[in-house]
Amino acid sequence: MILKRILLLLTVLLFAPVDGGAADGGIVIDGSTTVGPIAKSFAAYFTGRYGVPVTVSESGSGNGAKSLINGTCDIAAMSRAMKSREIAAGATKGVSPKEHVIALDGIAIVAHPSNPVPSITKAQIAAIYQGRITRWNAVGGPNARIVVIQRESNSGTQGSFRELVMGKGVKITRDAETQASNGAVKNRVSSTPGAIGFLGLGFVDSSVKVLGVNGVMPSPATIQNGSYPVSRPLYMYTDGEPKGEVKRFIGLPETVDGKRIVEELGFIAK
Amino acid sequence: MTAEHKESAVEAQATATRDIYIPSERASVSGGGRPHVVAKDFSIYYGDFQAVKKVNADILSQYVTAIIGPSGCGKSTFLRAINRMNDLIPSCHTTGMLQFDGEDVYGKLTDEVLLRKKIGMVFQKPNPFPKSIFDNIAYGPRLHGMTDRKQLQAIVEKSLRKAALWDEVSDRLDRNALGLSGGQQQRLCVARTLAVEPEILLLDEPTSALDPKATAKIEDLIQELRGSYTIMIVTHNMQQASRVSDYTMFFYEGELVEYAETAQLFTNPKDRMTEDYITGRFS
Amino acid sequence: MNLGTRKILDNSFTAVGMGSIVVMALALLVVLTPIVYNGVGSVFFTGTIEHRTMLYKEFGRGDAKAIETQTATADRYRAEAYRMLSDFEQEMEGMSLEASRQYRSKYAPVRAAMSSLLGPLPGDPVPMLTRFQYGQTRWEKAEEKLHNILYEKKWDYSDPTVMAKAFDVPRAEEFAGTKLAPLFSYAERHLADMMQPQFTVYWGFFTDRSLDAHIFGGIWPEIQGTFFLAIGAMLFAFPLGVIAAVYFTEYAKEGFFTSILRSANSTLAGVPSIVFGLFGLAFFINTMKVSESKSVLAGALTLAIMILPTIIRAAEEAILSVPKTYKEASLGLGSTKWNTIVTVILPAALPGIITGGIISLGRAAGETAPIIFTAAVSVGSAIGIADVFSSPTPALSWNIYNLASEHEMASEIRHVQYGMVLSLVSIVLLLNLSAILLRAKISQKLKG
Ligand SMILES: Nc1ncnc2c1ncn2[C@@H]1O[C@H](COP(=O)(O)OP(=O)(O)O)[C@@H](O)[C@H]1O
Ligand SMILES: [Mg+2]
Repeated sequence: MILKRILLLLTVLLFAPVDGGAADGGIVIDGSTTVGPIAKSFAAYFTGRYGVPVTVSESGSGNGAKSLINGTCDIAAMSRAMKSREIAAGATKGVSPKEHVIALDGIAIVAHPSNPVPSITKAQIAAIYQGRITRWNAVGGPNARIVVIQRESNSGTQGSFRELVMGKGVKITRDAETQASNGAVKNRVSSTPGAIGFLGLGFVDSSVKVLGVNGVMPSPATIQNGSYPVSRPLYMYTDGEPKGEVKRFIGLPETVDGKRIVEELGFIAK
Repeated sequence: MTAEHKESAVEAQATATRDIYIPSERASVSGGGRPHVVAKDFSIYYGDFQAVKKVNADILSQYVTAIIGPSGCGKSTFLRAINRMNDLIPSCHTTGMLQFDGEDVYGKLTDEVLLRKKIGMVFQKPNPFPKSIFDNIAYGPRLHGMTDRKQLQAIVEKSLRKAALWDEVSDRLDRNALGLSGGQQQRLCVARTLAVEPEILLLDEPTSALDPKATAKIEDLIQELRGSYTIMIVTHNMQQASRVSDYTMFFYEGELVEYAETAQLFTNPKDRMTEDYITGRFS
Repeated sequence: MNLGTRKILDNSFTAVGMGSIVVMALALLVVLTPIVYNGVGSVFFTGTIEHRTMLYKEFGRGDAKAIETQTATADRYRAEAYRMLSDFEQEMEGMSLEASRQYRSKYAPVRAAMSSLLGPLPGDPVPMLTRFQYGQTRWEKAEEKLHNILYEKKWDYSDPTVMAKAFDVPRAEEFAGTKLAPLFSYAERHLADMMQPQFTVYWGFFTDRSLDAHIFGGIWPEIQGTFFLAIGAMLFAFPLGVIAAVYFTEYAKEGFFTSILRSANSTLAGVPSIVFGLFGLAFFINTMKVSESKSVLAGALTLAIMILPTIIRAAEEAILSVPKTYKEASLGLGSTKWNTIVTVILPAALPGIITGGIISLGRAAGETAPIIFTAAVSVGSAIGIADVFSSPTPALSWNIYNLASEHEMASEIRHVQYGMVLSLVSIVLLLNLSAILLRAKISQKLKG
């Protein structure tokens, strides 16, 4: 009896969408976890303002690119530029990815807050990630082992980091530990005294210590004027020139509200 | 059947007496006696193993035919061949000829489903469906297209009455059949078979899982049904065979050793083997 | 073996058995207690006036009058704190350049902490993001933020050769002698006055949409998505699985082909679920194009493939355990094979089939990997039944993972994450419980 009533209630609830149901022709965004906060906040803003449903998946820059190429998303959010390989793959399927820079982001090099090292050089970071430097005392810190943390190969942040810090074709040491998201890197670094990792600036909080690079701390000012060396644009890609609602969405970073959202999230408006 | 008979049935089960039992004279059935099932050089194999060997026999309509013989001699195999129950065993195949009403049971064009409707079977262990008593009896008629509730009720009552179960269960037809006693379950199975109005009733050791009292009831039932149906009963119990049957077949290691009127087979067996068996020199 | 040793062996076996049961129960307790405790905290908690204001403004719920009076009281106490801030800001204007620069860099975190506790400060523009439009909505979080106002967490980096130790510096000391100094004791004394804490039961946690990527609001879209996916998977997998099981048990001739099929089925049962996810993406979305993008349909199909082997196996077992005599009885009455299967064998096997089905349903509800690429999104609204063919959906399993690892404010919304975990565990338990009840009921009916 009670079981039946619960079932009835469930059915009624299930078939009653809270928002009156998503209209057809919503915008589908897939891709980077780093761009995730911007994409999600833009989505909420856009849906609230124009009534167009927007869904956001955070499956990594690489998967975002694949989705766009396969025609299963409208916008690929990426924390790195599309590779020529991906563009070529798109061409074979009749997809021509068009790049839109939506914000700037610094890649913060982070360590455990107890780490006394204030700043290191780009060359030292590269040496650490190649496995040539393995102890903190080599960069002016205590005699402790460095726990190297990287992102998975699908990550755009990983791609940018390798390009900006390591240089083309330089391999990362096999001792490096892989974490699958910015949040996971942050968790690991904040709980491991000897750790070093890298994060999108928007994910930094007081649980980790940001290291200066070549003596420059990442901040909106240093990233905008280019003095912080490890920064990159964040992108959204569309198939060809965007049209209709997608065009309006892609235009958000140019609007006053869009810029404020980007800044409130800790990224740098372009 | 008299009270004496029942008593001796009890005794037979309890002490397995080895005396030859002399069956009573039995009245002939009017309108019966035509060959209903006919076997000609009929053999049954499980793979290479020949379980039933070149049987030749006419089974007469409206009479009760018992099949006796030691365990493993092929009684069940032969019985189950008649309504093609052996089709369930993939390795099982037959040679020779088996006819039902002049039709080849194993012919290419024979519809085994129709055949089984005409040749009902009751098994060693009572096997009612896990459904209500009513649904058990109505299963067959429903299967063959009867949907009218009134008609179904009528046929359920008729079948239960024929199986001498009506008085015991008429007030609880909607109860699950598995709640009945073993003897009641077996009579229910008989009733279920009767509900599809078969011509032949095959009974494979129908009382071996029952207590003496329930056994007596089933034996009474067979007497009731004699004359209306052609009945074949496999039994381990020679007293039972002599009590209920008109004809008896004795199987030994797959061969039909002797087939005669029951009274004659038990009083005056032609074959040494038969005599040894019925006098209990081996079993 | 003599009687003595036998007894000792028996007793020690009993002891080991009991011991392992106790260990298992304890392990379960250790796992479930924090889930239940923290999960319940997402519905029952001490909420502040910010929570009530947020609910009223964003969802139109609450007692407007009460909120108004409480806000008025809170604002009275907050005004005093705001006055101290602006007094200090004026004081800094009059300081020497060097002193003012020093104070400014120390003051910025205080201001940020105040705004995090109370919401936008007077004079600040209204933030774009909902998360910054309100102060702390939960009392325990408010207390945490108060700590950030009162103390600065510092690390002693004076000796670069050792790992530093953390220590708290009271900000009251750092601002001693300025007009900001009284703020700290004031905030400590009047935290409750400024926040108006009140025991809150927020059932909306289960029925509200999420706001600003789960920072406020509820988890209804996730709950609904979970049901859609699990039930959708069932709609495909259950009939298919039962039919396949019937084929295996009743129709398939033992042979090469059948044994290939059988071992394929067993292998499938052992494949990691992420493989199904990738298969679902490649097959259902990219090849079959069942939907333009991720969708409930694609996810349900993928989950269906994943649970199919389990359902087939359970149904096979159940069918094989039906006594052969039922089949003989039915065939003996002139029933066809098909009819026998439908009217006798399947009903008798139903309890076992249903048990397998519902265990699979629970698994479909709980799996993350198969839906990552086929159905799940981090943000999306609750969808209608008509949208399942084209729209993706949030789902508990995926969003728990997302909140645990990817969300930029993960540490601020642990309660939401725990609430989702509790919901998922409850849903799976509920499904299993209903399986047990249903099974018992049917078995009862079969037994008579
Ligand atoms: N399914 C089967 N597969 C192979 N051999 C069988 C099978 N069923 C019965 N047999 C064999 O066939 C012979 C006759 O069996 P059965 O007819 O059951 O004997 P009875 O009913 O007279 O005791 C026995 O030797 C038995 O082992
Ligand atoms: Mg037998």
